[in-house]
Amino acid sequence: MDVADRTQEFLARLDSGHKIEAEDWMPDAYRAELIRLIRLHGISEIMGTLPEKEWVPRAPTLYRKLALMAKVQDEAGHGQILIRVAEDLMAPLHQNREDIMADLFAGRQKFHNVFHMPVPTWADAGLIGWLVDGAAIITQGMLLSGSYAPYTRALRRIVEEEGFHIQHGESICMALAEGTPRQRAMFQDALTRWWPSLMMFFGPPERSAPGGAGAGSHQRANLRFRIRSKTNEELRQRYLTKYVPRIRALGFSIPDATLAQDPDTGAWTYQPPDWDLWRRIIGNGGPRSADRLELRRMSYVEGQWVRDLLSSTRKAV
Amino acid sequence: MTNPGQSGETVPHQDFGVYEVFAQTQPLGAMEWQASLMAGSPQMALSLAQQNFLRRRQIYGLWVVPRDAIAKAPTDPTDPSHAADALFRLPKGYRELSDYHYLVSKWRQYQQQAMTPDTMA
Repeated sequence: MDVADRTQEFLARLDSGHKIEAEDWMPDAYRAELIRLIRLHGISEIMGTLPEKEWVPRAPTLYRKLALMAKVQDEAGHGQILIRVAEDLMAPLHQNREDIMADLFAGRQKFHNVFHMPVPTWADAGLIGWLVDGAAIITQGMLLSGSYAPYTRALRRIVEEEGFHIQHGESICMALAEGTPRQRAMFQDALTRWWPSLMMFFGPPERSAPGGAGAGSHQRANLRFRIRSKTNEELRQRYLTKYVPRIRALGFSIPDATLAQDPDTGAWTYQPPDWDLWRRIIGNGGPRSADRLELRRMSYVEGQWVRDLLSSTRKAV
Repeated sequence: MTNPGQSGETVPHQDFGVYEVFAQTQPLGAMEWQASLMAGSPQMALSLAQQNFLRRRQIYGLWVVPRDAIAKAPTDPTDPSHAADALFRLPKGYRELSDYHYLVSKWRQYQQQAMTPDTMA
């Protein structure tokens, strides 16, 4: 069977609901899409620890501090799990996590737009837990039915833990919403600050994806390979349906005068975020991109002796 | 100390091996695969497994197995010796309880016969 026939057979198998394992034959394009997606997810979990950990020393109570530390630890663990899944896919290319880290430091590995942003107040930290993790779980819940078994197995564990993260974030935001006028104002400011980033979270709809005509090819390829089952825009619509009523119920206002839901179709219209700005942010041009990359690099370099000590061929130190 | 990623396209790889992690989550449960991880030694793998994957739940047993030590049947159905091929294409009820359920009704029948007034007299 030649590659074209094998690919047809593979696609037919995906269409019948068959799941793929790491060592199965797969078309190069399937492997490439998975590596791209899982590397991005894994390294975003790792980089995602950095904005939140800024609030560990400043959490308002011991309870909140412990919960936030547990969450940060979970995110680092998710990064470990996901990078392991990516490594098995990268093995035929003779690459592993060290190549991912090198690519991150050299600006060749992107991470999620939200983790390039500043976290100036405790309300921002709570908002990340509630509304950023809430967005993440919408994406990950959709990916749970994906065709690549090792990734969906990893996601099952991750989604279970994210459930705690959302409640943790909700609890912080609820306390602020029920708090003093100053606490409410702090949350409103955080929401106003984060709204454009939240609208960017799921990525551009296909029509304005980078590259113009024929764009959004990763979305389309991932749909064809049954790695994902919904488009960026479908996820964003689902997110708005879930969270806009909750935000409004707490009496906060969303900084988008055009935001409206069609009563018949349920579809939302909204002010599209600046996708050029999004491209600049994920190209490490965000307000905190350089600082966070530098912190990650410093911790990687300073931790080298630990990895050396733990490696199976011990070096004299 | 080199700056990772700045010098060139490739980086030296740490000498870690892949370990598969299995845990028993019920006292009478089977060992079940949990995750895989990279470590330099079995002790390190055990410690990472506990920290990364099992810190939220009570476990009763923990194994880490070097992946190299596991011989796997292929999972790709286009492979002639794939895992599902172990299901022989023969009637296999002879080794299943369901093929012997008729015995229950047989016994019920014999019990009822034995308890009719005629036989009791």
